[in-house]
Amino acid sequence: MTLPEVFRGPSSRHYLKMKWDYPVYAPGAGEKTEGTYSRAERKALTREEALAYIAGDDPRPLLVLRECKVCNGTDDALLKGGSDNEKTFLLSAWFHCVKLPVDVMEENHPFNALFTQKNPEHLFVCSTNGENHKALESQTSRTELWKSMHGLLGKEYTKKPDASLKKLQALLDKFDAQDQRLNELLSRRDQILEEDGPKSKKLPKLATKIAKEEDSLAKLQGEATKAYRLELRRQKNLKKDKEASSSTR
Amino acid sequence: MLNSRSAARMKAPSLFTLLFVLFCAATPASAQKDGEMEEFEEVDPYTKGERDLERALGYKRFGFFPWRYTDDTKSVQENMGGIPMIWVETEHFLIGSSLGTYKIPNDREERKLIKEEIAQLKKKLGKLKAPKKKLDPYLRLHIYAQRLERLYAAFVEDLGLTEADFGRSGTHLGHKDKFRVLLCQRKSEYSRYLLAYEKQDIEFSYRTGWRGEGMLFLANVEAIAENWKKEPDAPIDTMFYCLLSHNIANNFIDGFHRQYLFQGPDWLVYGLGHVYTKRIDERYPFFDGRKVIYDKHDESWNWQPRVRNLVKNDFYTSAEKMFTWTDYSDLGPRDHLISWSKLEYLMSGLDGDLKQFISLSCYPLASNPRAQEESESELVTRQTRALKESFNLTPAELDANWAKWVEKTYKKK
Repeated sequence: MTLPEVFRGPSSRHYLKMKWDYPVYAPGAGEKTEGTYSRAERKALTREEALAYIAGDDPRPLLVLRECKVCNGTDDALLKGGSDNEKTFLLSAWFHCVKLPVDVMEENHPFNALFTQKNPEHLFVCSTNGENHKALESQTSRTELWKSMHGLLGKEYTKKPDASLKKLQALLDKFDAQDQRLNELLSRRDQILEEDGPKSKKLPKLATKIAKEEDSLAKLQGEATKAYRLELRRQKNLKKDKEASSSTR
Repeated sequence: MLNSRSAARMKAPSLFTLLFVLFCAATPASAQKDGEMEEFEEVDPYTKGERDLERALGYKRFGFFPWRYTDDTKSVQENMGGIPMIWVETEHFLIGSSLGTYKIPNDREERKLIKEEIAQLKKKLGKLKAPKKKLDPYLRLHIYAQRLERLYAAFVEDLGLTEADFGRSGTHLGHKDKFRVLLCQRKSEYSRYLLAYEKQDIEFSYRTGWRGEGMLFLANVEAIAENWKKEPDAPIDTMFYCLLSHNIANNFIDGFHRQYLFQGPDWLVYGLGHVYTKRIDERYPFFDGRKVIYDKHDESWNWQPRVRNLVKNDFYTSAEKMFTWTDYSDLGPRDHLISWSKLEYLMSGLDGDLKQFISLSCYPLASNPRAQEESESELVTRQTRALKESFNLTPAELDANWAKWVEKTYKKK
C-alpha cells in the first residue's frame, strides 16, 4: 500500500524545490554592436572549459541533468513522484544543480564535450573540476541515486550530511504546522481589519499571537539554515592555506 | 541612463513573478504527449503557410525575423536551448512561443473564454474547426497573438489614444520597436533567455524596457503549473493569460513615454494590471505571491465587497499617500485593491481626460526633467497637477468621490 502524498505548506516548499542553473554559452548575445558584425560560429568547448563554464563561481559539487525529449525538460529523471522525492530535494541543495538543453547532443554545442560517451549519460554528479564523476541514469533506483549523491557529498564536504538531512526532514513537519497556525491568524486579522476596521478591539490580542507565531517560524527557519551549513573541504583547505601563509609572513 | 528608481523596477521581478509562487499544489493541465517533449508541426495547420490567411490574422511576419540588435529569432531560439518555437510579428508585438499542446480542463469559465476566442479566429480565417479537448501549439499562438492585440486595442480605446498622440511613430505607443513577448512552456528556455540576454535569474516572469527602443515581457507556464499539481482542472491557461495581461498593462504604463521609461506611478502601474486581469477572470488577481492568500475555497478574490468594507471602515490609503509609492514593496495587500478600485473609478466614464491624466502622471516635472531621485513632494506635485488638470479634482476630492461611488456601485457580497 502506498502512503498518500503529503501536502506541504509554503515554508516547506521553499526547501523542497530543485534550484537549477541554466548556463548558456553565447558570447555577445544581446549586446549592441557598431559597424559590421559577423556572428561567430557555434563550436564545442573542451570538456575542461565546459565544466569550468557551467561551474562558474559556485564551489559546490555539480549535479548535471541533460534534458531529453523523453523527460520533456522536466525533473522526471530525478523525481519519480511521491513523498520520497523530499530526500532528493533536500540533498540537492548541497549541489550546484545544472540543467542543459536537448541540443547539447549536437556536436557544435558548447557543452557537447560532456556527453561524448557511446551511451551519453542523462544525469551525472562530479566535483567542479570533473573529478569523482558518477553517472546516474533515469532508471537508477532511488536508493542508488541517494547513495551516489551521499558518496560525493562525503568527499566534497567536511561532514557527512546525514545528521543535517535528518534534522531538515523533521523540520518539514514543524514548518507545516507552524504555517497553518500563522495563516489562520493572518486570515482572521485580515477579516477583522476589513469587516470591523482597524479600531476593532479584537486586533491587539491577535497581533500578539501573530508576533509569537512569526517568531516561532523565524526560529525554525534559523534551524534549517543552520542544518544546511556544511563546509566544503575545498574551502576549508583554502582557509588553512591562507592561515599558513599569513603565519609564515 | 536610467535613474535608480527606474533601474530598480527594471531589475525587480514583475508583480506576477511573485504571485503564483505559493498557490497550493497540483497537476498541470498543460501537457505534452505522454510527458515527452513535443515536436511542433513544420507548417501551421490553420494558415497552411498561405500569406492571405496570415494577413487575415494580422500577421506581418511568421517564422524567423530580426529580434534585437544582431540577434534574430533563430539565434534566440538556439540560445534558449534549441527547443521547438513559433515566432510571429503582429501589428504591435513580436511574439515567440514554446507553448505546447494544452488539454482544456473542465473549468466552465475557461472553456467559455476559449470558445469565444476561437470563434473570433474563425471569423478571420473563414473556417476553423473548434477543438473540444486540446489546443495545439499553433492554435495557442494564434489565440495569444489575438489576446495581445486585443490588450493593445483596449488600452488605446480606454485612453482614447490616436496615432497623433505619438507623433510620427504612432504605432506601439511611439516606441521604435514593437513590444517583445516570449511565452515559454518550461522554466528552462525562459531561464536561458533571461540569463543570456538579461543576466537575470527570476523564476516566474520578467519585464523590462530600453529607452529609445521598446519593452519586453517573458514568462513561463511550468512555474505556475507546478503549484497546481493536485488540481487537474485548474485553468492554467487562464492564469497564464492573467499573468500576461497584468504585465503587458504594466509595460504600457511604464512605457507610456518612450523617453521616460519606468516613470509611471506604482499605483497606476499595478492598478491597470488589475483592471485588465479582472476583465479576463476575476478569480486570479494574485496580488501578492509572497504570502498564501487564497486557497481553492477562498473568496478573497472577490474584491468589490472587500473594498466596500474598507471604505465603510474608513480604512484605506489616501490618494496623496498613494502618489508617493515608488516600489512594489510600498504597497500592502489591501493597497492593490484600492489602486485597482480608484483607477476603475477614474475609468468609469467620469467627466475628465484619462489620457492626459496618465500622460502627465508618467511625465517627470519640468523642474526635474530627468526624474532623478524624485522626492515624495515632487511625486505628489506631479500627480496632483495631473489630477487637477485632467479631472478637476484634488486628491482629497478624489478620495471622497470615489468612496461615494464604491458605496453606490459595489456589491455587498
